[in-house]
Amino acid sequence: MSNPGGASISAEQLKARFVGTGNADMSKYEWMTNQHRDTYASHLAHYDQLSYMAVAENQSIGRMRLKLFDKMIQPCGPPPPTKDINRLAEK
Amino acid sequence: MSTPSSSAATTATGNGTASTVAKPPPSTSSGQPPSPQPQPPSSSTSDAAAAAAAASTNKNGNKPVVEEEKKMDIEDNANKEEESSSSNIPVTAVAMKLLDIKLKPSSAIIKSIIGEFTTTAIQQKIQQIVVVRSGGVLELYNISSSSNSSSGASTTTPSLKLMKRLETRSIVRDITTIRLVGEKRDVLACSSDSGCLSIIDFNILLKSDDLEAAIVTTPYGKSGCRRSTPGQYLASDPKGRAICISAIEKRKLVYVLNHNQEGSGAKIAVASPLEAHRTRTLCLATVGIDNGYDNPMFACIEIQYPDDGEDNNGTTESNNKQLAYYELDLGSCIVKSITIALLDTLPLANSLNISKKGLLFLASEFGGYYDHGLYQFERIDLPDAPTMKTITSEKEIETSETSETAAAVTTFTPNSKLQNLILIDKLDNLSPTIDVLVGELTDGLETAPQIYTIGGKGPSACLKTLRHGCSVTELAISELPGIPGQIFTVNNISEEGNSGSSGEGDDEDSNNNNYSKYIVVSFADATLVLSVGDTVEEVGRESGFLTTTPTLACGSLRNGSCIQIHPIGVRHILKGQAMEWHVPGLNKIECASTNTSQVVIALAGGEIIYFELDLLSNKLTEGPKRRMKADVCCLDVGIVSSRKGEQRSLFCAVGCRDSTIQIISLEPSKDKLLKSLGTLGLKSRPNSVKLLPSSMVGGDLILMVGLDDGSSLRATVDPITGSIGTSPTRRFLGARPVSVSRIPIEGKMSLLLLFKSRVLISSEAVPEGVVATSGNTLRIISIDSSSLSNDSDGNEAFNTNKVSLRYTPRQMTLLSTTTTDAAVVTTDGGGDTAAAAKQRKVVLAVVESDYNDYGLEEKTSMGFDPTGKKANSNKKGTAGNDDGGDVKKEEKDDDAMDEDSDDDEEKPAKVDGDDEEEEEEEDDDDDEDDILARSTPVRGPIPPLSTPSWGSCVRLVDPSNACDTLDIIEMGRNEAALCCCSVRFHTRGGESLLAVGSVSNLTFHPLKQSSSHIALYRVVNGERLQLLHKTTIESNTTDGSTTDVGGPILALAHFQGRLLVGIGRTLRLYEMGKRQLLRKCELKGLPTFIKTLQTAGDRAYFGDMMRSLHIVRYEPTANRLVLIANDPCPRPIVCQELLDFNTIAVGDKFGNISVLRLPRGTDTATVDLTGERALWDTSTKTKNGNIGNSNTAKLETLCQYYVGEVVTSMTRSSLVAGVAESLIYVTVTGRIGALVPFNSRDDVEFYSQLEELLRVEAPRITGRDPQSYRSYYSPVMHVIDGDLCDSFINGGLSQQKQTKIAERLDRSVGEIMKKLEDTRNSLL
Repeated sequence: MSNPGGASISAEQLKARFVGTGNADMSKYEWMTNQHRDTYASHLAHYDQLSYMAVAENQSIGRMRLKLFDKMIQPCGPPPPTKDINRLAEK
Repeated sequence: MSTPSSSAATTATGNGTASTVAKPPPSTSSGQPPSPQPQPPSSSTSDAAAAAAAASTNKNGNKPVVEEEKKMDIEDNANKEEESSSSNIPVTAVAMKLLDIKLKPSSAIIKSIIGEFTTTAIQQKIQQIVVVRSGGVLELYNISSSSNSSSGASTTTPSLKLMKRLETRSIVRDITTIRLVGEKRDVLACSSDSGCLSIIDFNILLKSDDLEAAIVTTPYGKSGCRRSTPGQYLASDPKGRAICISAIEKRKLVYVLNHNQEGSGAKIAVASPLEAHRTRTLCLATVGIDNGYDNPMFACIEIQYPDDGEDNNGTTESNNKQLAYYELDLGSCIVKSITIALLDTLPLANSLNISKKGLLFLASEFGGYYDHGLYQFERIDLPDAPTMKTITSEKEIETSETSETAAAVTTFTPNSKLQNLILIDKLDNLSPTIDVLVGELTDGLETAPQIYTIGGKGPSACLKTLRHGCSVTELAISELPGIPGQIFTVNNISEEGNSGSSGEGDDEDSNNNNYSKYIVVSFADATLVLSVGDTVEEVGRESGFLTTTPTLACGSLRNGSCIQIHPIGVRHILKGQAMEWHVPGLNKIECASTNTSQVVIALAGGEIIYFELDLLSNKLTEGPKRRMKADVCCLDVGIVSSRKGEQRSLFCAVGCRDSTIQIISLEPSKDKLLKSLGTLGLKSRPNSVKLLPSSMVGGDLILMVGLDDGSSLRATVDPITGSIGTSPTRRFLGARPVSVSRIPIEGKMSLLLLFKSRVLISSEAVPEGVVATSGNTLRIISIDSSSLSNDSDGNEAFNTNKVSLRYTPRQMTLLSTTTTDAAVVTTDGGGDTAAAAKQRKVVLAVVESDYNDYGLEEKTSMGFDPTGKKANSNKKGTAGNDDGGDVKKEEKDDDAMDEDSDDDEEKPAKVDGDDEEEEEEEDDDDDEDDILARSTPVRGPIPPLSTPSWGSCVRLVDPSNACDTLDIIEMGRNEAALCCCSVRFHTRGGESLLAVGSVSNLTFHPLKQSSSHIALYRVVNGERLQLLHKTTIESNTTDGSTTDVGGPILALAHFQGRLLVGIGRTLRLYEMGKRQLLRKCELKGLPTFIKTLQTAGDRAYFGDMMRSLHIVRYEPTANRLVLIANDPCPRPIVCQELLDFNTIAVGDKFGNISVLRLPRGTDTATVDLTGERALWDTSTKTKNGNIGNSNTAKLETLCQYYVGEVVTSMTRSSLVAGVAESLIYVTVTGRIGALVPFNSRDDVEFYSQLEELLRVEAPRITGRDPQSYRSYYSPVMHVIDGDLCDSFINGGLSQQKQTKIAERLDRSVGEIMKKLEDTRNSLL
């Protein structure tokens, strides 16, 4: 990996810079949460998709947007207990 | 696209779409426990498809959207392609090649801002509004205070005038104004999906039209609308020192702005950005704070979410919103008191802008019946304001409980009548458009098909009829004694003769005295002269006109005299004295034409005589004669433009019966006068001809010919030699002869093509009016110039009629019924008189439903009164109850139904009156316009979220009678009608019945319903709906578990004399029974939800809400539905349209249109000769319960195109009778477009090459590459971007670039423009 300037950057730096960069120990929960946040962010950013949903739910676009923001906080619910993550990581 | 890329693109499609496939994620419903285990697909998919049920939205969107992953590849391909194609672009035959043409741009406004962007010549400051429309269009509007370009004496009301439109070909996400320190003007900053910040200076743009000088783009990040790429919010420091651009999550960039020292001072220098990132932070809004010349500060509303890895023991602080201040260190905020009072209730808005002149621009969130509006503040003093809330100090804000403040705000009750504001101007808003139909449904009253769209939401839902053409306003109608032949206007020209402007008045400085004096109407044996003033009155002899003969031509001459040409002579009226010139012998004048100094007459037998006004003697002098080869049927001498100092028109156009048009010279020299200069052969006899001067000095004249066969022809005429240009542009208008008239619109000379005679008047009261004759009436109309403003930018003008609906429409269908002739119901309710002959009649059925809304009955029983009038509420309440009661009766009692529909006939508005306040008020109040300008849609009571309910109805509309509602049936009982279709059961002798699919107690979170129903209605006498029976499909078994076949009904289709129904994951075939529908066969285990369904022959084509299109065949011998093919790409289908037996166009949730085809030979492979279930039967279930496996034939993707907005409906139709069909689509934001198939290799080659060149040459306003924009989700395939091609004309290309492109195409610039125009003309 290298910057446009040519200086190499480490995976840690990469992870710090870009949201959702995975690693080997990533749990399914983290991965899923990231995917969902990406999806909601995309819906939020596309006005047409937002208005399409707003029509279906008979909701104003502003409320729809807020609803998606709220969903982005914990899209897959709270994280599972730690031992579960370990068990999944072992799998 | 050329060969090298098409193969590359195909492979890339596979990769690109494959990347969007995701494993089903855990359920997202909030109440569920953490779900680390992989979920069975069924539960997650059902959740995913939740919203869909209603209009079909998959809002949970389980599938992660991967955008632009393949962007680099595409660009690489593009680059390679450019290299390889630079010398020669090979074009191979492709299966299908389409051209995307925009008919009407998106009308939804994402954001609007107000500012002073341009300076006028006198340095006068005017406030302007910039709006960003969905689809990446920026528009600059002036709030002009004069109602028209000419100086009208009438009171001036402010109106919006489009100054500039910029097509960015990208997704514009936010805009803001910047005013640099010391500057007097604003510039526009704009963020888009290009990953660039662009700054646009409209002042330079409007003056020089040079896009490159006016735009500065600074790249900062990746393209696409990503989660952490800045661009979602833009905020600028009010002092213009810095601009903050932030992403949805984490990232914020702050740019310091400076004047550009080099070059012109107008440019802005953007320094490299400063970062203000905060991890795990979602940003909801950003704004710049005015803190004088202290350090620039930005305020953001943010949410911080916990680290995913952290175990926070399940404590979720969902509402921890923060207000964060970001201070830019270049070298505090206090709320004193806020008083809130209810001023007025306005429609839900995306943006509100208040101008310094007391105007309010409202960009409405959803249109439909109500559009974007410009309001005027009439008063803001509120002595008796309904509610007030005062916050005394900052402390109170901090300490007061959020809920308390919220409660205080919610005590405002919305009022449907504006008290302090008044609507003065509006911009069309078609968003959201849900369904479209194209057809000529007016019973032969019109020649061109109309476009019917349903759209709007809740109280502003409506059915719109769009017709191609400008909208006109009828100002006056008067009866005439007979059927008029021709109609003329005579202008009032002052005798000083300084103006001497022609009858059509293109001279602006003499406008004051250049109004029409007379309207002359010619009948078969008489002439009627009307004087134009404040009123139009008949004048007799004093006008000097001969009224006892028909008039062939008349006009005013430059010396103030008038001329009238009648069959036996020319009458010249000077100062009340008439001089006659008589035709020698018994000959008669056939036709004639006059301008301000010349007269040309044609006698029977083809002799032409020329007269010219002698300014010295003030008399007409007879000139030479000439005999044409054939009889003359039309003439035009053109016009004399006094502004250019012309004395006479140099050419005369003569149309002869031998189907030719000749240009003859009127140059005064002996050898040239009346000499033929050019001839144009026609396919049909000319009916009318007009010459139009060019707008440019020294430019070509335009010759417009209206032909007998209903088409028009436009050719150029050389201004020196008079030769007619080759290859005239032909346009078909209709089946009747076309006549051509000259009219000025907004100061520009235009031509009017029509079937009947019309002439322009201009008077002080009506600066630009048109007099028209229709039947035996005389009508004065004015042309709505706002509808024309679009035209100049290459967008087609449409005029719209709208009919208000009760709930959000979901689907519509056409029903063919038979009526008896005496179907007109008499007001006494006595029923129909004996029927005469049976007639076929086409009616339109619309299903409407609203989630989270009460039905009409409940609303009225709760006392919801949209008018806001106390006095009226009692009356209304009872009326509503009556209406509600009738709805119940309707289903049982035929007599009651009669009465009910009688009411509807008498007062069409009454049907809607209860929730559409403005119509109700129209009955009460005389001043309808005022009422409309003061009304605002109000939603009424909203059910609590815990018990969501539905309001729904089925409506029958008569398209031949201005879309009047014939009948309406309220669903009630929390039942939502979601789809409908016309079905002809073979057991019922082919009568068209209306099938309506509905769902009871549907909720979205979680997605569930108690039962689904299919109701069958009969249309009685083409005007009433009669319920035949209702079939219920229970979703739950008795023990509460979901059955295999449950699910909402979203799609219905007529299939081989039976009804095919998509019920959730099951496709079922029904036969009609006496008491309910009888199940004949079914196909279970389809992927998620059947969203769309179409049938042809023995095949059914259905679109799945997540897994794209499937093709199913019905085998009658085995009575089975067999899956024959599906699509390997998982498209979330929104709409589909069958193109032919093997080809289907689909639109998906992300705004792509794809054309899929069943590969040749795959159909035969699944023919099951034995009728037994073969081993390779693809309809067998796989392990996961879904049907289809790797042996199932896969559909090929022929075309792929990113439209930019969710396509909600498509229909295959032609917009002009007798022209090849194209695919018309509508999007949720109101865009109407057409995908036109190419019909010749030459066209394909031309457009491919033009697109290729424009991709490189066209200016990029937001820095977005046009090709990667059209390949947003997957690479564009075999669809040519017509918008991009049109940018050759109006995309800000410099002349050198145009010439460069034209050279590469081996054509002239004019030829390219003509080609583009021809393509558009052939469509409309």
